[in-house]
Amino acid sequence: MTSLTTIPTVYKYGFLTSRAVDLLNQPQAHQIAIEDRDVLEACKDLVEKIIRGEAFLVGPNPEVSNLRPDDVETFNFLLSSDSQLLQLAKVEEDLRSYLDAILRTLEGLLRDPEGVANSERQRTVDFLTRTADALLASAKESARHYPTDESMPAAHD
Amino acid sequence: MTDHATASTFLKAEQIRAQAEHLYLLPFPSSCPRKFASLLSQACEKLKSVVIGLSKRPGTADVDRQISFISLFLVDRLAPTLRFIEGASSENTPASLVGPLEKIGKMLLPGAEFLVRRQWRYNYRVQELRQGLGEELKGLLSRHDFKDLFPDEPQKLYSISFPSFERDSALLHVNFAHEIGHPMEERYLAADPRNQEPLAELRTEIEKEDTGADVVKRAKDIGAATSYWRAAVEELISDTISTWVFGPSALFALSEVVTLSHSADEISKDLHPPWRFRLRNMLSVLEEQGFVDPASHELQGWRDNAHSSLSGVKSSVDNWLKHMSRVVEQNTDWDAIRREGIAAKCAYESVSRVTGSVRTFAAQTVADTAYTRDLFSEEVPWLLERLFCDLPPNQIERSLWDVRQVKLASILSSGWLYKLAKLHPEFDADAERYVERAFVLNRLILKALELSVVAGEFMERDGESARGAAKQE
Repeated sequence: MTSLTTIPTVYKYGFLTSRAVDLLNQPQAHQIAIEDRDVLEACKDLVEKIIRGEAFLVGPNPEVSNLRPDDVETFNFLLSSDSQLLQLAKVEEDLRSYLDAILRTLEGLLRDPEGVANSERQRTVDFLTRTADALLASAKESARHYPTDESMPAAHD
Repeated sequence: MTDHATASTFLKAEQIRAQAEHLYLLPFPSSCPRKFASLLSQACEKLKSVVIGLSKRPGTADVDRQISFISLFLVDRLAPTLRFIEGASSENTPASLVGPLEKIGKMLLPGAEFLVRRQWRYNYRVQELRQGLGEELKGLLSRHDFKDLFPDEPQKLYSISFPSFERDSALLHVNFAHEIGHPMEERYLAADPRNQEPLAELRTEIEKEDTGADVVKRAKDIGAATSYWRAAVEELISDTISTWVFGPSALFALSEVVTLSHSADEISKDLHPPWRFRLRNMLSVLEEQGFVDPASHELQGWRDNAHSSLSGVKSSVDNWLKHMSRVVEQNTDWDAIRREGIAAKCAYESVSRVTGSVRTFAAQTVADTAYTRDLFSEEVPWLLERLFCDLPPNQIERSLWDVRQVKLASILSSGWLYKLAKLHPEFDADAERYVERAFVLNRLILKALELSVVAGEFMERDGESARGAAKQE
C-alpha cells in the first residue's frame, strides 16, 4: 500500500493549498482575479473530495466513485497528520459539519468575498495552512526516499 | 534581498533544464523520449519564471512555503524523470522491440504514448509520466503558462521499464504486454456499472466482519480493502491481456520474473497479489483459450510428428505445464490472504467472484490483436525449424516463392519453446555451452523482430503504392 509519507498527490495539493493560503492572507479585494478563482475553485474541489471520501461515505448519495484511492489516501493522510481533524473524526457528525463549513466558506469566497465573515475565513486559512504544512513535511520525507526502480545503496545517511 | 533558498531553487530548475536539453540529443528508437525531454525543459523554464515572481515579493512564511514546494518538486519529481529519458535511448533498449511494443500499446490504449526504458531494479513496471506531471503543475502555474506547456489536455505517456541487464533477453520482454494492461483497470470499472458494484459491496462486507470496530478503524479497513481489490483486479486484467496477446509465452515469461518478486503466497507490500494466485489465473485463461488441455495439463493442438526435427518439444513443454499445474493446485495463498486480515479476506473473496467479468473485459479489449491456438499451431513449428537451423524465426518460407510473415507472438513463442525444449537440457550437459546458445537464441529472436518490422513496413508501403497505382488507373 502507498505509504502516507509518499502520497502521489503531495505536490498537486501542496502547490494548491500553499497558493490558496498565500492568496487568503493577502489584503481582501472586491473582485477575485481569474487566476485566484482557479485556486479557490480547485481548493473547493479538494474539500468536496475529502467530504465524499470513502472513509465515511458522507455524501447524500454515496456512489462507488467515492472509493477512488486518491480520495482515500488524501483523507487518511489528513487524518493522520492533523490532530484536530482526527479528534473531530471520532464523531462523524462533527467532522462532517466542520468540513461542510470550510466548503461553504470557499463557496462564499468565490461568490461574494466581502460577505464572508472574518472568523470563517480564518478557520479556512487555518485548515489549508495545516494541510499545506503537512504536505510539505510529506514532500520532504518523499524527497529522502530512493525511487523504487533504483537499487538501494549499501550505505546511506 | 533574495534569500539563498530562492536563488538555489532557480539554479536547480536551470540545471534540470540543461540536462533535459542534453538528453534530447541522444538517439532514440521512437519520438516519445525526445518529446518528453522537451516538455521537461519547458516546464523548468516556467518554474524559473514562478520563482522570479516570488523573489520580488517581501519574504513571508507563505512565500517561503511555495519556494520550498517548488524546490522539492524539482529534486523529487522533475530531476528523477530525467532517468526515464536517458534509459530510453537506443543504446539502452532492445531497439528492435520498441516499435512493435508501442504498436501493441497504441492498439490497447488509443491516444496514449509509450516510452520503453531500462531500470536498475529487477522488475517490469509501468508508470504514467505526462498526465500526472500536468495535474501537479496545474496547481502551480498560471492558466497562460499551463496552456503554453500543454496546448491540449495532457495525454498519457506510459513509461514501461525493464530490468537493465536483461536488455537483450527478448523472450522475457513478453512481460511488456502485462504492463500495458495495467492502465486498463480504470476502463474496466467504467465499462459497465455492474463492474463497480463489488466495490460498493465491500463496505457492507467489512461492516459485517468488523463488528465492534470504531468508525476510524472501519474506515481504514474499507480503504485498505478497496486498495487490495483494485490492485488484484488490475493484476488479473494485465495477466489476462498478456495471455491473450502472447498465448503460453505470457505464462513462461511471468513465471521467470514473478518468483523473484515476493513470496508465492503473501500479498506484497505494494499490494501485488500472491504470485500463485496470478499463475493460477493465467493457466486457467490458457485452458479457456484452448492452448492447454484442462484434464491432462498438456499443450493442445500441437503435433511433433508434423516436423520431424521437433520431436521432444511437446513432451518438454508438457512437463513444464504439469509442474505449473501442481504449483497452482496448492491453495496456500488463500491461507495467507485470510491471515492478512479482514480487509484482504473480503477483497480477495470479492475478486474471485468477478474473475469471469474481468476475463470477458480483457478478451474484448484485445480482440483485434488476440493470439489464437490455431495461429500458434500453424506458425510456431515452422519457426522452430528455423531456430533449430540457427536462422532468425521471422517468417515461414515454404519455398522461394511462398514466403509469409508471422505474428510477433509466434516469433516469441518459438523462442520460448526452443528455450524449454532445447536450451534448458544443454545446461545439464555443458553450462558454458548453454550460456553460449542462450546468447545465440537472444540474437536470433532480436534479429527476427527487426526483420519482421522491416518486412511489415515494406508491405505497408507496398500496399500504399499499390493502392495509389490502382487509384491512378
